[in-house]
Parts: sequence; structure tokens; C-alpha cells
Amino acid sequence: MRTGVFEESYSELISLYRNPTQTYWTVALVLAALVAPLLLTNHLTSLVNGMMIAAVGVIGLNLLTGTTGLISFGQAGFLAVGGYTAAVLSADYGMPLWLCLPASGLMAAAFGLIVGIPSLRLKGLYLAITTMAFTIIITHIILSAESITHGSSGISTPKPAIFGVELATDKSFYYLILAILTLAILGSANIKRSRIGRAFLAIREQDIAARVMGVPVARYKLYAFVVSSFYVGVAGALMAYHIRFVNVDSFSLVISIEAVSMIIVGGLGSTAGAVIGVVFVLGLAEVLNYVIGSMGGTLGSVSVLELKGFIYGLTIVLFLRFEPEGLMGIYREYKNRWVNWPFRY
Amino acid sequence: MNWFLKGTLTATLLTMGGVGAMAAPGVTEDKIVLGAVDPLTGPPSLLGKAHSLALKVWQEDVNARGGINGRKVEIVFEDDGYVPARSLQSLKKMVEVDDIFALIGTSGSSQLAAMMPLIDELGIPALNNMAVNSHHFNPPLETLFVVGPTYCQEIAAGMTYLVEELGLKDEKYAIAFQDDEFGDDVRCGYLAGVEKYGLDNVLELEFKRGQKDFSAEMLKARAAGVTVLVSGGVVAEHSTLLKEAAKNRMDITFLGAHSAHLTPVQALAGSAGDGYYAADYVPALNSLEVPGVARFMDLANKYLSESEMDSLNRYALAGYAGAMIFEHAMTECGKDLTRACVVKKMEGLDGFETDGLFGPVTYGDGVRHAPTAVMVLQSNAEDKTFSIVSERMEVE
Repeated sequence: MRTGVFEESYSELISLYRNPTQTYWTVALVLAALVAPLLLTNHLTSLVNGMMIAAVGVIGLNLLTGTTGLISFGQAGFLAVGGYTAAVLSADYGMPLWLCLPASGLMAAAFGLIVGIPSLRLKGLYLAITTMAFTIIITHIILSAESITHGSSGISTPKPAIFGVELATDKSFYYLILAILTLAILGSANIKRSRIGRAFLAIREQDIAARVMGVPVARYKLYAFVVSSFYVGVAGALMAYHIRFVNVDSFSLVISIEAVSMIIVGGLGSTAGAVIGVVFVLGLAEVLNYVIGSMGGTLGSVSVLELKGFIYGLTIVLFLRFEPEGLMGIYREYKNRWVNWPFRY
Repeated sequence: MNWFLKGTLTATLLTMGGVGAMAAPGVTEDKIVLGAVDPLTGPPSLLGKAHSLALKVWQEDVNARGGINGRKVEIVFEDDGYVPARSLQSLKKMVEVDDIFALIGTSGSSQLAAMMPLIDELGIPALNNMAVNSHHFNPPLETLFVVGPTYCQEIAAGMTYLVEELGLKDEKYAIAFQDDEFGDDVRCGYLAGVEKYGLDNVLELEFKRGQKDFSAEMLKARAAGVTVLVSGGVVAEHSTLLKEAAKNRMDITFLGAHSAHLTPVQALAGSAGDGYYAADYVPALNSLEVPGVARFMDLANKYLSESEMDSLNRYALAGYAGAMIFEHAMTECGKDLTRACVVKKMEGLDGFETDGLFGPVTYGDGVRHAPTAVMVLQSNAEDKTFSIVSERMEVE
């Protein structure tokens, strides 16, 4: 019987899978993800697609805020940059999806570099406000640059297709999003176990100490912004193909706030936590829709609709208040109890 | 035996095939399921709640009258929170889970734009009476019908009233419009009026969407001696502009699009909200002399609670009138209700009357927009009502 995980070498310490059980669970999860569309309805598949797209962006935010400790409310702005890049390139220039996706990520990363520069001198709330301003600026740019962005009319994107294969249905698009989410998770996990990831963590814990240890703080903070924005840009492009329409209404500040709440609910700094946070926050909204819908009939009364918003908000506030380590914290606690039972530690 | 089995099987398959061919999605022997996507939460719920409550009233009424050709109507409502992504998600859910036959609530302009590819792909009959935008019918989709004039047409008609009825030809005109498509559409109507009557256009003020402070704009307007101001704001902007004008002691005539025809605009503007004009294609809730309004208010009193009654506004009348159009098309199809039939009946509407709620509604082959006639209403801030002050004007 396994009594614990003991890393005896440096390579074991930074390995992707720390024990065979993790490998088995990962394989099981991948298999489940592959067969899921065969079992789910189109509507549920579409919901899962939305969650997976959000997860790509939130993993990016987690690298910036959770791992590096740089608070950003600019995610809606980066998402808009990615979404609009994909929409303009595909709808107006006929570029294929396989080119639009990286182009959207790179465009958002370029903006991330620009936004990242103030982060060299700003921290905490000041940085949060600066990044929030970025979203507002991007909205104004989109509305003003009408010749490129079509202003407030928005842009309808073509059906997604890759190498001649049309991914028009939610079920076919699912596999593309799944592949990108898998790459996003692997990318994030790899960054975190590399020198760059350790530099990010050092900056999060104490940037002055990190500098004393020889970590080039300015460079790594910009890295964090660029990598995070790339992720969010790709998520924006996927969102544009998923909804098949973009306009500024789709990228409100609320999205940035929701994204931060997702990483807090999931567990700051954890890639798995970011994904779980997305599932919890977006899933909660759907569950509440279902429960209240089945309780209150078709329309329900006005008060029932307001109750939904209240329950949704309260759940997130309670999480922030009583479980700051998020769902991953709860998972770790129960796992330790199970492993160490009957001992407390 | 073999012959008997083959015969029975063939007959069964033919019957099943026949039934399959007849049954449209969302239509059963005794029920028709319709869908409505509305913003029911957040600030735009001002529109969505009123619209959905009107549909609820219509549903109760039509079912009390025995349904449509014996089939009861059931409306499934989805809240999109005015977010295009959620509108699309809601429609997908209604198509798959609720199996809707048609869509009679299409939320806002961008929200409908996000749903349009799916509406077109699945051939869902849909009626938009909430937010009219030329992208919704230009190019036209086979199954999407739009009722009501564009903001451009609405404001142009309002300008006609100002000049021809109020005699405001030699005044100094100005427009304050927000920097988006809505603002551009209002400006389009304003410029059409300016050009048509050779008006003195002294100022065009573009402001940022979501702007809260208009003191600089109104000081400019005062300096330019503006006496007529057309507002290209959505809701709160009308009130702020009115308040600023009052603060600067400006004696101006104020005209807004139908979004100014809301009691919150009056309430936010306070005493400054008295006497302004709004161009609209539906009457006011208090216009009980209009048969359609009187009937709707009777039904609303019967089927809605007191708090629900407080949520009603012009979007309720637009929603109810839209439902009347749809009811007519579905009734005309008889027992054999299919999507193709409803689309055909809608397309065939020629001067269809909604008891004065809309002007006559006409569609045609490849014509999916019915720009119904516009009227001008005047605000009475004290009793929170609006009065119809013009005849209906055909739009150009």
C-alpha cells in the first residue's frame, strides 16, 4: 500500500506526473473527454465547449495572477483582441482557422507586452485598475476603428473549418477545443515546472527577494503578461468561432471579474484549480437556471430571477470568505485525510 | 403470413413516415411550444421583463380562447442577460431541450445577430419586435421577420413632426449621439430631416457610449444657441441631457427615439423630463383610446400581479402586437402547422392590423422588414404618462 509520495531526485520533483495513480487518472479523464460528445446532447456539448474555451483563457490568467501574483482585470480586453483578430482575419480576409488561432494569440500577446510595461512599476490594486482601463481602451478602439472592426455592428465569423474539414456542429468543434485545452494545460504545467515557472512563483512570493536571488523580475513579469495574453487571445478566437459573431457587448468588464473569481474559487496558482473553477462558476449558473426554472415554471416571477443572481453572488462570496484556497484546497484537505487516516497528519 | 407481415410493416412505416413528415418541431396534437430570448436580469431587463410579461399575457389569453386551432401555446423563456454569447446558448437550448417551433422574443440587436446563423440554419420562424437594425433584414433571412422602423426612419419622422406640425423650421438644430451604430442610426434620421427641410444644423456632438456627464456638451450647445436637440442616447443619456439643459436654463425642444418613451427616463430627468418628444411606433400604455392598448391593459390586469404591472412599458405593447402577428400566421395555417407554412403566411401579410398597436404590417417575397408608421409622443412628467401628439406618419 502506498503511504505517500516521496521525491528522491530533482527530476522526480519536477516530473509532470508524480505517481502512477495520477497517470491512470489522467488517461481515464482523457478517454472520458474523448467519448463525452457521443453521450452528451448538442446543447450540453455546446455548454461544455463554452466551458473549455473559458478554461483556456482562465489558465492563462492563472499564470499571471495565480502563479506570478500580478492582478489583472484586463482579460476581457485581451479576449476582445483575440476574438476580433480571428473575426477580422477570417471574415474579411478569408484566412483559415489554423492561421487565425495563433495570429489571435500573438496579437493579444503583443498587447500583453504593452500592458505589461506598467506592471514593472505597479502592484496590487494599482495594477488591477491599469489593466481594467485597458479593457475600456480596447472597447473604444474597437468602436472607433470602424474601417477594420466594423464598429458597434460586430462581425459574423464563418463556420469553423480546419484543413478543409468543416467543424460546423458543436460536437465536431468540441474536439478542436479539447485539443487546444489539452495543449493549454500541458503548456501551463510545463511552464510551472520550469525555470520560468519558479521565477514566476518567486516574484509572487516577494519580488524584491526574487531580484536579490538573481531573477530578472522585469523580464519575467513581461513574460507572464505575454504568455497569459496569448492564452486569452486564443480563447477569444475560439469564442468568436463558437458564437460565430463578435461585438463589444461580448467583452464586458464582468468577464474579467468572473475570470478572477474562477481562479479564486478553483484555487490560485493551480492549473487544475483554474479548470475546476471554470466548471464550478459556469456550471453553478446553469444548475441555478435549471433548478429555478423547474421550480418557478417557464417565466417565473421577477423575484425568482433576482434570487438567482443573489444565490450566485452569495456562493462566490462565501467561497472567498471561508475557503480562500478554493476547491483545490478542499480537495487537498480531503485527500490528506484519506491518505493519513487514522492519523491526523 | 409472410405477406401479412410485409403488409403490416409497410403500412406501419408509411404511417410513421406520414406522421413524421407532418409533425413540425415543437408542435404536438395539443400544444405549440414557442421560445423567447429576453434580457430578464441586469439593467436591460427594463426591456426584457416588459416584453416577456406581454408574451405571458398573450399566452394566457390565447389559451383561454381555446388555443390556436385547438392547440395550447406554451412559451419557453430564456434570460440572456443581454450578452450575445448567452443568447446563442439560450437558443441552442430551446431548440434541443425544449424543441421550440418558433422564436417570438429575440432580445437586442447584437444578441439577435449572434442567433441569426442558427435561426437561418435550422429555418426557425422568428419575429423581432425589440430592436430593429438593418443588419437583421439586409440581406433578408428566409425565416426572420422584423417589425418596426429603424431608428433612422423613426427620427426622420419625428423631425417631420417638429417642422410640419410645430413649425420649428427656423430654429437652431443640434444632435448629441453616441459613438456606436445606434447613435449613427439616430444621426442618419436627423441628417435626413435637416436635408429635407433645409434646417440650420449648428452642432453635432458625438459622445462616448456609457458617458455619464454631458456638462461640456450642453455648454457647447448653449454657446451655439441650440433651440432643438435630437438625442441619440439609449436611456439614461436622454435624462442627463435634459437635466443639463435645464441646469443651463436652456429653452430647448427635445426629441428622442423610442428609447426615450420610458418612464425611467422621465423619472431620472425629474421636472426637466416634462414636455420632451419621443418618436415611436407603438402608442403609450396610457393611450386607452387605442383599442389594442385598451385590450392589452385589460388582459394585463387580469393575468399579471401588481408588481408585474409596474414592469410594463412600450416593449410590452411591441411584444403583444408581435404575438398577435404570429398568432394570425399560425391560425391561418390551420391544423397542419409547419414552419414553412408560418413563414409563407407571414410573408403574405399585407396591411395586417394590430388594433392600433403597430401601423399596418406588410411583408412580401424577399421583404422581411415591415417599417410600420411612426407617431410622436410627449412626456407628462407629473403623472408619468405620455400623450400621443401626432397622427401616424408613414416612414420613408
